[in-house]
Amino acid sequence: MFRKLTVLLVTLGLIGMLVSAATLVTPTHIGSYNAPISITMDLLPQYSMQAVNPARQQYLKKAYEEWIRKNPDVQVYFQIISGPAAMAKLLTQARSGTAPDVSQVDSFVLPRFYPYLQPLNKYFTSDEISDLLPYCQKGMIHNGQLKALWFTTDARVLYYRKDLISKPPKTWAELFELGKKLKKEHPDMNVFMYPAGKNEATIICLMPLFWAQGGKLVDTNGKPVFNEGKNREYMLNLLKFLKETVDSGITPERVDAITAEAQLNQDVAAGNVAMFIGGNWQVKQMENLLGTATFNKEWGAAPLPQIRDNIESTGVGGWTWGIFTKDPAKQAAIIRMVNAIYFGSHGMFGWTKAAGYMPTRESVYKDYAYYATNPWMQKFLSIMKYGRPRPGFAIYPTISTNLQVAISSVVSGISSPQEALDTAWKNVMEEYNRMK
Amino acid sequence: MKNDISKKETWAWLWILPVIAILSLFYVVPIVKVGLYSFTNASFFGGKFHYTLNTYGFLFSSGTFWIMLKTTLLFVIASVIFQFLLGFSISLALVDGENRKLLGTTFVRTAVLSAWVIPGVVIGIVWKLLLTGASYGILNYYIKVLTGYAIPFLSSPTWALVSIIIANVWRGTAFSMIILYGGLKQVPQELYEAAQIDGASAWKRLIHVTIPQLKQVIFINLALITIYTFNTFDMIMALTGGGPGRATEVLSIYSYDSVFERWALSQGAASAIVLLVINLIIVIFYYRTMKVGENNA
Repeated sequence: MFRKLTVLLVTLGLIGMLVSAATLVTPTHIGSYNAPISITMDLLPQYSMQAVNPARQQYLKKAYEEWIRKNPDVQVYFQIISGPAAMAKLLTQARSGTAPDVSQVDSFVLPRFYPYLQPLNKYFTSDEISDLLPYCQKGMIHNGQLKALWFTTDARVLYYRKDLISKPPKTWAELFELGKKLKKEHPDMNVFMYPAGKNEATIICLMPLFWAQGGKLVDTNGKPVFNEGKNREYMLNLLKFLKETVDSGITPERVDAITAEAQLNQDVAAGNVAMFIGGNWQVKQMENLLGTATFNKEWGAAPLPQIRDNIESTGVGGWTWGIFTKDPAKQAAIIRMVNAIYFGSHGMFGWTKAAGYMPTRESVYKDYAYYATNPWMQKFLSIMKYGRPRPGFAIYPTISTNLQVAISSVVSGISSPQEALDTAWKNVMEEYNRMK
Repeated sequence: MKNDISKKETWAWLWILPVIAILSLFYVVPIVKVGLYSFTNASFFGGKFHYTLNTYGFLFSSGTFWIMLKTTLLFVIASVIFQFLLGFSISLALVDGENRKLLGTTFVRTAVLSAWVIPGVVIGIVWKLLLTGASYGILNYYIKVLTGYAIPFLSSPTWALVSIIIANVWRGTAFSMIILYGGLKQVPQELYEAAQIDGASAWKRLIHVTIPQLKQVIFINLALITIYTFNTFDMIMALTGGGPGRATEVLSIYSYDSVFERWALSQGAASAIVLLVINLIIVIFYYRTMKVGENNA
């Protein structure tokens, strides 16, 4: 009788514990509602427990459950942000002092948030910071203060068909030579594709071909310079190169309607693309489309082809965590949480593996077999060392929009490279002078 | 008695106060706010802003604005003409079919209307799948099989503009059809019978009986579809995003682009006010037409 009662009580206790653990974590709130440290956190849906992707959802649910069990004095309210206005709204909130305690901040607008973000140096050693990729360190640190935690990144690479191309082209000349040969052998094939539509993807995929030449979009004060001195020559080189890809027939004109890297996936799946500029995350997408074995057998990745040999550059982006609260207890709790789930070595490994992003810590690529033994990841890491984020000055969105239009106009034959560049420059400078 | 009425009127004001408050809060205040921003140099990037007329000066002196306005007018004029003509033709055919007790008129009406109830984004995506030059482009697949060539529906500037007009006409025809169909059902049959007895041909009956009888409905229809077309955003955004280049950038896309892509709040607000003024002119025209119609009735 006593034994039966004990079993019953233990069972009830276990059920109780399970139920309480389960109710501690919901997609919009974690922790006890009585917990003294209450944090508000803004994040994108795909980075939250509301993510549609099951792998992300499972990882986050488990990670948040584990963390909140160890931190019973904390509760977190999640607020979903999305859409193109998310960063603009966040900046408005930060300016008016109503920002959440912690939020995701897009790496390329991070400089706009520096005045409102709290320094985090005391929570990290210099060794921990120097573990991050060089461009991440540069973006996170402002005037010696650690302003944000860059926890995912991405890179643009040249994907190529290994069964058609034995050596990927390093230069534009090699690309045209190879492209013409492939076009002759496979007349229906789209030899070389890239996004050239009116979208940010066009800039992040193609500007590395300008940057690698030594080109600059803005000077150190944020003044546009992409049409001044040598920069004009470099930009014209790029526009002429893009025009030639279409004129020579290796690139279809319809790339001017491609506004995101993933829009190329269907063409790739149809088997009529030989090379394309895309993002690292497309490996996972295309493994799903083609099957892991087929994709890995047929496709390889290489640095973007440049105007000449021995120069490299790639467009990189990613997301950071920025802390707005000045409360030390809240800050410490946020650091503990973000480290455990997204930013610490183990958290970063778990999150990037589940989500398909690239880690920002070099040690993660060495210490975890998933990255250390994966040739894709090692290749991406070697390419990302030449990563260049977009400049975070106020004029950048105007430059980007006008260069998107310039590229799209050149590719579709609306304007010559010179006309397109002159129009973009005129529009950008009008806006720059107005903003001054 | 008179006192009772004035008391009732006072109470009536109280009853509609919540509606006035809600409308003011959610419609008037945002419009006023946008209007105020349009007279500033505000940007999501900048801190403080000041009031200035330069934003409008900048907008009207910018070459991009006039190119975009020309594109918008081409899009609106072509869309309105074809939406009206097709809607009118279908409604005439439907009424004639019903008069002849033909089977399938309800099915046709429902099929045409279905285009109108589909959200603009979905229409944009569906037309993109149809028109894309990629290997999965449905229309180009058949065109290529028949002619050996593909048409650059979305990548050539001219074709892209034609494509958004076609998609918009497909979407808006149903609205014209239903408005004109309602109007046609109100035209007294005796007028047609009298015209027939007088020996009027079908064309003459259309010109001298149908159109004069529908004059007011036609004006309302034209005014409404012009407003809807000026405000088209979701469908174009999904179909071309305003490209290639700026080939399909209309006023609403320009506004969105200014605020959310370039973070230029004041410019976006100024272009939104231009769109508002255009819509207001059409609304005034619409009300004046309505008033003339009521006075003539």
